[in-house]
Amino acid sequence: MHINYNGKYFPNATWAATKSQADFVEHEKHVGLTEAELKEAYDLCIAAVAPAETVAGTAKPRKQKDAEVV
Amino acid sequence: MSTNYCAIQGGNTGTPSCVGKRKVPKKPVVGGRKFTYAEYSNSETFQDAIIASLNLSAGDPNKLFPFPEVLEVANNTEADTTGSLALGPVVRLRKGRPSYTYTVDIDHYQFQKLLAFDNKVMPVYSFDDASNWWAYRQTTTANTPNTKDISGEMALITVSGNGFEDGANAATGKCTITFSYLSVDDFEKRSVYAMLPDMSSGDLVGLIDVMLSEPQANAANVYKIKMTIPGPILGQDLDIYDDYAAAIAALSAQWSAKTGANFATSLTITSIAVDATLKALTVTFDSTAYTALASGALIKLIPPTVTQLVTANIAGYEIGNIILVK
Repeated sequence: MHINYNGKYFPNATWAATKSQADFVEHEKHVGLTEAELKEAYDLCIAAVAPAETVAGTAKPRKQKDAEVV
Repeated sequence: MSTNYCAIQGGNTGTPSCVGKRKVPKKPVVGGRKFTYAEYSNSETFQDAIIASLNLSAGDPNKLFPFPEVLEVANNTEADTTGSLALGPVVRLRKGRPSYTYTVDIDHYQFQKLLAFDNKVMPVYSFDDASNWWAYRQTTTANTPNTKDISGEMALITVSGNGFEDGANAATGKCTITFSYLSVDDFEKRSVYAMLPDMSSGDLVGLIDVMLSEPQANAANVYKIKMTIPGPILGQDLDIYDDYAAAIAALSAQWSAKTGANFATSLTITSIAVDATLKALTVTFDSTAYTALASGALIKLIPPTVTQLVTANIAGYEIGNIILVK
């Protein structure tokens, strides 16, 4: 599963989930996203590999913010 | 009691109505792909299977290579070898083997690509101007419907020409491709055809090779990868960045990287992004795994396959691998 954040592609969300947010930002700082955007991209990766949250048995949609999980 | 063997010398000579015959070839298609009865027994299924075989990656044994459209046919089939005794009839000693030279009008780039097939023996399918697809099929056991696979007819291919024109003759400067079939028996007795009324010769088009290269040195685990079509015009390699970079980057999950002996070890690609300044892709590998590689280690970067490109509406291209060096 890969993450598309404004045309920057992160094809390995599983790998991202093994890193801290700070490590991910440092690792990908050259792709052309701001620090804030990289943090959001990281959050999308984590959400993509984590199970959906549930409240009273109802699944919540995963976070999506100006980007998409593909 | 019979007094002759005439009745068992041949067979019945009638024919059903509307059986076709070899017409003028329009498109030779070369390759090892065999088609099953399930594929060729329906024209729509067969046409889909043929087109799919054109869109396979290099090295795939089922890949088919369409040749350019034929503009002129020269029948170079050998004359039968004959002989006779002084007072006897002319006797055929050996049947002449079929051979055809096709003249095609192609550019220098395509001519250089076709030279890869020069002097090679390969299976050849022929699509003719009656929309029939000619192939070879083995015989089957007696009293059994023949559902065997079909394959191309084996022929020696030679590619020549494309020199300077002489300004006086339209035939000069053209490329000539000769198909010399290996077996007259197979060509005559084992030839079969399928009707493909919806197929056009324009549907049978080969892929263009895209080369990956590094426009500048890597910065540790971050590599710049350019995608170009190397051509024979000096200094004018075609850069597909403007047309396809974004779409190819979007196929990030279809890129892969391998290292180690026989490139058997996966190396994680953590991101792919477009670089508008260099008109290249920025490919980033997992820094931990990259650092662990020895200096000089080789990394094979593998792009999306032809099938994956076609699915993403990037049709007509095949992107080759590149070997990167740490």
